[in-house]
Amino acid sequence: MVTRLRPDSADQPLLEQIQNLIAAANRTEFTAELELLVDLLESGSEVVCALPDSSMTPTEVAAYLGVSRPYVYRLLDRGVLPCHNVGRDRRVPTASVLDYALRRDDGRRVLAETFASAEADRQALIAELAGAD
Amino acid sequence: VSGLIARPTLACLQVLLTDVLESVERKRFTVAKHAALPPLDAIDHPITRHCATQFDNRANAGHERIKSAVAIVAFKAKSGPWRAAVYMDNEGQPWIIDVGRRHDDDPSDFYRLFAAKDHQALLPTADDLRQLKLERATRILEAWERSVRSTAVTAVAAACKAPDNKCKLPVQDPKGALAGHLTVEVERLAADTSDAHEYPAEIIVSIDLGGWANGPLSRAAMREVARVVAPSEDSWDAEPQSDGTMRYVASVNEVRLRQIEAASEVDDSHAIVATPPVIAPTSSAHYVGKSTIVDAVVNGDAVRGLCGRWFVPKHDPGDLPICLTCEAARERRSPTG
Repeated sequence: MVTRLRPDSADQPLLEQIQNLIAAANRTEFTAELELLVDLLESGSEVVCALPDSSMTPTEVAAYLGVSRPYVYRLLDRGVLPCHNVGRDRRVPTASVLDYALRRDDGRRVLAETFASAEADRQALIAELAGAD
Repeated sequence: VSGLIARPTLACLQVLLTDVLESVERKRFTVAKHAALPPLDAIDHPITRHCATQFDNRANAGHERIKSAVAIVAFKAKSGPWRAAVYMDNEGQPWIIDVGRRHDDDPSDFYRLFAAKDHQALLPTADDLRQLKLERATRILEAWERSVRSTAVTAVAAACKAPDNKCKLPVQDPKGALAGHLTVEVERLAADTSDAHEYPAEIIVSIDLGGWANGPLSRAAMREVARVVAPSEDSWDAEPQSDGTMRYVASVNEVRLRQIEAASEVDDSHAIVATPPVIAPTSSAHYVGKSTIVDAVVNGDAVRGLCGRWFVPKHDPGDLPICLTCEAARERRSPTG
């Protein structure tokens, strides 16, 4: 089970109230994390909540990652995503899916920078091949 | 010996620009910044073309010396009304050090003007040698880029035929040392017609540059592979592997795969290897938070759109269609819904 929190502007007053409550409470590790959560929501970020040991069906994984189901089965078959069987169906640990999405985000950032850095890389490589002078 | 083609010095280029070249050519050179000058040995003018042929390193002897130059050895070159003085440096590189027009017995005749000049001052300068080095380096890089594309074509075609759909080939760096490996895997995925989304059947080409040091070279290699496999940013996605490495995957169609296979059957002259298009930038505009966009534009960092796609904001996205996922995400956030 995965819940996605998507605040909109109408929720801002509520988020502010929660922030005030957190600010009034004794500071602990938990309040710090709650504060981070509310800050994220206030900045318009989408936050995903999941129980640590929950799992997702391949269809849920496909929808969450924005890929086709055959692509998810491919990831399962290759062992890129771990899974266990429930009867004839497969389940993927939610934590693995979230971890995959985070690391894919890193890769996507690198990919975007790879495409954008063509000219700068070219100048650097030419300068290196020409020898420093 | 290749690469020793007659070329004008930068000072002589100025003369070409003001007196000799047609205005279109002139524009091309003046627009270009110093470091980004086009190759000077490829200027398309009768006198430069003629010098390239006359001083092609095969017939060093037999050139006619310009007698008025005493301090240096300068040779005559003639083409139509054009005249040039050519100097050979110690490495056998011919330099066009001066150009002009022939006007017999007139004070504006090239050889008369040339005779009155300080010939030492016409010799190639440190800037000229630097420009020559940059051009040679550019050619080495371009040859390397082409060889990476050729390797990519071979790897994709071999992966299509391999029982495990994989092919792993070594790739050299521009100096000929082993840079790393390129692993290509080609997989066919069935169509997905679940209720929420429809995905057509697709071919997934995954690229693994295992063993490469991260940097300009590995990025350049990835771009050349992308130009072969799918020359569009939108075709590519990242796929983190369980061992911590990253693969880049492109969704391609059957036609593209056939083109790559056809390219593998001829030599390097196929358009996919020889003259591939540059990679098309992302085709839609994405929304991002206002606070992140300013820094990103200044620093050239990638930012994450509301839809989850990463991109480096560059040009004004005003004319691009807005990404539908981004639009939906923005509507969810707006107060009126």
